[in-house]
Amino acid sequence: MVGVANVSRIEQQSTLHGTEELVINMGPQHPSTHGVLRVILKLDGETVNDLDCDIGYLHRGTEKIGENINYTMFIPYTDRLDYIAAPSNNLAWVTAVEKFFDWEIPMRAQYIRSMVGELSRIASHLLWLATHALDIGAMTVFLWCFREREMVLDLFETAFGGRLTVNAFRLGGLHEDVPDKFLQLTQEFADIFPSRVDDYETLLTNNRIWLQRTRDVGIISAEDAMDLGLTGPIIRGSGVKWDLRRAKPYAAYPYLDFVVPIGENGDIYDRYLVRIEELRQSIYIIQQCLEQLPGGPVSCKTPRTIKPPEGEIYHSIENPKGEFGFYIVSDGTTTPYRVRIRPPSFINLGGLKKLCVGQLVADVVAIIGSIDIVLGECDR
Amino acid sequence: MVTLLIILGKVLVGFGGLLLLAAYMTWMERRVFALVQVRVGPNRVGPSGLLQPIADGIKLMFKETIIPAQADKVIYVLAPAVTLIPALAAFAVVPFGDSVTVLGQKVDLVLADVNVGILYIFAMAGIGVYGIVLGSWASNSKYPLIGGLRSAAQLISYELSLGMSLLGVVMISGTLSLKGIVEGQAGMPYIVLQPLGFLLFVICMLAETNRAPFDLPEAESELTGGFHTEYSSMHFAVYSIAEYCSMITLSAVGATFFLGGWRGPLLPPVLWFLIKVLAFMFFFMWLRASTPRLRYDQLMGFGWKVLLPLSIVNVILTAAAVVFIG
Amino acid sequence: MEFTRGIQKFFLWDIVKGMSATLRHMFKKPVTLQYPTERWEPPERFRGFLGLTRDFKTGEELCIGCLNCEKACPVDCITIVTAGKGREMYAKEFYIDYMRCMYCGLCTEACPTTPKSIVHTHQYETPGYFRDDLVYEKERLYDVWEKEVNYTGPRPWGKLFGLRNQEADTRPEPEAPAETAPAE
Repeated sequence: MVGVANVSRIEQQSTLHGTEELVINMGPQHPSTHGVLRVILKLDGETVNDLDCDIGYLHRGTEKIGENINYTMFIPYTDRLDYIAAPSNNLAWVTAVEKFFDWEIPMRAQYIRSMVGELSRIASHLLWLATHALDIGAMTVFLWCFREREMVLDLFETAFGGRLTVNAFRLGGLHEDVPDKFLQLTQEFADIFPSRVDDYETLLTNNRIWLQRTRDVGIISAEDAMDLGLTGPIIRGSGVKWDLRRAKPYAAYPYLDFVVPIGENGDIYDRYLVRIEELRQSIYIIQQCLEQLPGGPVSCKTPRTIKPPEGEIYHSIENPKGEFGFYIVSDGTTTPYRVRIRPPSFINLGGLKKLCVGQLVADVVAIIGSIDIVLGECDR
Repeated sequence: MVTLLIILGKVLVGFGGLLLLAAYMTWMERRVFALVQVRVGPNRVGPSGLLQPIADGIKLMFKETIIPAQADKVIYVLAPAVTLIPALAAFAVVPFGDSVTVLGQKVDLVLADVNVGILYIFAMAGIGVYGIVLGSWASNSKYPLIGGLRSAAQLISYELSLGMSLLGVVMISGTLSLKGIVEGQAGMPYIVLQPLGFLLFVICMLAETNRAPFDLPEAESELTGGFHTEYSSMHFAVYSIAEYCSMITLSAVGATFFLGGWRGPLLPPVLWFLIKVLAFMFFFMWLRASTPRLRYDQLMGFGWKVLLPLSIVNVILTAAAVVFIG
Repeated sequence: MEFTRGIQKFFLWDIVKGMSATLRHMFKKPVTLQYPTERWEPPERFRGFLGLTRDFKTGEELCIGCLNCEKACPVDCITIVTAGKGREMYAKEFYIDYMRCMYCGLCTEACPTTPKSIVHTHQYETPGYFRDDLVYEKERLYDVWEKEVNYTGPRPWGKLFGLRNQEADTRPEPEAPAETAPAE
């Protein structure tokens, strides 16, 4: 009862002095909410007492569109979900639809899919690092990261013709084999990229201000993270070794060697380290893919019209931001009966309140950055 | 008559030069940032973008002045000027060159040789924050409010250490006049005698001028621009000019106190002074490009728990040295 | 070890290292491409504006009016009015609404003719002042192709159309994609 008495006294005092909560609308137009996220912050001074996320500003009804067009036509729409790493979404969709059939996807296609998936992971993590660092005030890393991201986008363009909305994969494999130039440029990129990661790390990893801003801020324990259903680098930063590339291998991942990095404390710094390590692991995977890349066709024989049997399927892959899944209900026609997207950003954003309450305004920005959301996929 | 003309000329050259330099600092900052970030920077207007500040100025002049409906209009309009004027006025006591002979008269290249120059500079720097606080308060908006509060707190905590860091030099030279301090550095610049003082001064100066990594009042990523969120057109331009002016002024103070002011071999004194100030400015930009931003509480902690004790230690050590060594 | 770390920390070693890294980058060549004056060459497979192709020898329109592209388009930006019957069939009118087109490339993949009668060209600068300007009718779609014929960079279809080509010639002819393989 002592506690209650204290609380009421504090309340009394605060009414006496006329202090009140400051409600701030952070977003939807705000430099650090990474899109059109609106966060309603209730502040006591600069401390966050409570917060509420308002999403839906980028809702385009992608799931409903998916019910009205056929399975191939939906591939370009998946580009628009997590537009930072479009090929990963394509991969999730095509592997989900392929689960309806017993097609044997040629190994060359599988390897190329893995390779492009890792490239998109690099593209996504680079954009994350760029904007996260910018949120914390390190402006130079921003453009350094974009320099390399541009190289990755050039690679996509060489291979598939599109930069941002790549439309990379088709049901049953690839549309056509990637050009030799793509493989050669990827090799060049894989050779120079690790040194570029070192550059970013020189500016951030040991920098005392970066450490002060990120260490012991936005901590989430492994249990909480699991309860909230967080996935991707966040849960790995909390020390849970959960990576769908290992847990439920798809594409060529069963044949590839890589380490799933995990953190210890579950703070922003650990998430940062996990993602930085993932950048290096991705390059390692790409190099393996280039070495082991088998010859042969890139697509299996698929029927002219794709009509999956009646039934339902859930398939998810490890997107750069977490578990990205498709739940498809087929009624045996050319269009799905229902498409449901499991977007990692949306579910990871659910942890925002847990992470932010009690922290300062400046930390909210850093935490949103460390969750790595993209609103295209969150609002769908 | 001649004296009056000379004073007028000095004022025009001094303040005009300062404002022009401040405008060109925006260009320099953008170019330095571009270099660090492996891009080109402004290069379209004039040769290597040299006319860019003028183009920016013209553009901002023709922009509509937006005053929020809830704002306190008089203060809202006046606040930028309140920031700019002290920033300019503080420059008055900084000697930017040796004395020259104009029209048969010996002219000191300093706008006003005040014998308590340092106190005057601190007074002016202290007033400067009023502009920010008033502007943010008058905007009647939440982000500027937080920015203004941060700015006030930051200034109070860092002004103290700033003064302390210069105290060492004052003790060695035995004068408060900036002209006297420059004369005292004929043999060697005080940076040799006061390395810690110099370091402390640079850090405090960054905080005092709201530069990265201490640019919390602006804190673009959190506060969407901080105190000048609501400002537009020339009012905004005046704020940014004021920021650069105070940077230049404090750089000039730093150059005068620690690097020997306008003293230097071969080149004319005014040029030496300019080089030293530009070196300071370049360092600011370079540092801004290299570091993240501190958090508000960390900034205050750093100011009170690290800088202030260190500057006191510096003062005590200097005092001991002055007393025992002479 | 702890001692050296302490010393390093006192002398702001981490900041100094970061600043030296930024200093090193100051002397690197900018990566900026100054767009209107410098131009980037789109890669071979670049998906630019769609164009309708002609046979390079006879100048005949290749489109057979099969409506496959219209059906394959996820955003319904293609509208075709056909005329004639059987082997005589051709597209009398052909509209592409570029306000809708998302450059996904599914129409070119669906095209059954060899060489393709609808292709992505390498043009990417075709804005319009009016909305109507962006609905391309048949003549303008063939004009797009006329421009593409004069394009000198590498092209995937160069060999098929007998056009001068720099790199793409070495590649074998791509097989017809699986989805459009005739099943009937």
